[in-house]
Amino acid sequence: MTNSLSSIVSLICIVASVIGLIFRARGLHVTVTQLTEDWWRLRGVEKERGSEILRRSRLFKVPSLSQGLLTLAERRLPEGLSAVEKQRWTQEMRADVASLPRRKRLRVSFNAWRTGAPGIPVGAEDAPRSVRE
Amino acid sequence: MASSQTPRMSSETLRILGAMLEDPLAWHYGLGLSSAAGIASGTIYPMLARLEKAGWLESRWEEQGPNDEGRPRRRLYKLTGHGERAAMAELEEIAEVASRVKRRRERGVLGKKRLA
Repeated sequence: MTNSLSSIVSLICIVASVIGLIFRARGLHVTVTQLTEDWWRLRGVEKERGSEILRRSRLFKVPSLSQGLLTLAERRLPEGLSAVEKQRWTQEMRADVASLPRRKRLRVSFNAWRTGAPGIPVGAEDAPRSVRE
Repeated sequence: MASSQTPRMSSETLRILGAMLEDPLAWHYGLGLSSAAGIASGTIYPMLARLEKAGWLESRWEEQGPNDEGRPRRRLYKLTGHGERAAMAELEEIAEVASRVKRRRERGVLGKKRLA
């Protein structure tokens, strides 16, 4: 029993190390760290919205996770957008994501958080890459 | 309440218009256009709003069927007649410029000074 348990633990450690290496190689470790921090900040700072999202499902249930990611993405909307434009982004993005197949929902909302919203002011679509990134 | 002002023709705006012109009678939703045009989701909705304000697009909320209960309605966009004509004109102008540059490169004219 003890041997089985230690084997399982060792296996988990190995798998986690491999995943970590892959993430580090692809530069994703920063992304995952930042996402985790944002997620916990969401739970801590906006307890009502965070708990509302989590209350309706378990943490990794895909539909709620994607909507949680969109909540985080909304916080990264560029400063140049007006309140009306931000509201339209919120409303339309959530509706569009909700209509996607399950697997695509998570990927799209993750990309919205990671790259889609931040750093691009309105009207600066032709800005040089160094400014946009 | 559409204004007659021409929206700014950035490369991303042209890509959106190109994607919509592939099927000018169809209603499109934001993420679908974002994917078709290869544009990040953060920029697509403000662009669509500006095109709508200029009268190039019209929009409406989708009508949901019985299988769509529980999810919010999407906002759909379509080219107006004016928008379709104007978008075609912009893309044709770009194509003409590109063609002209290509012809001059092929003739070896570009980069050489011309005598008055």
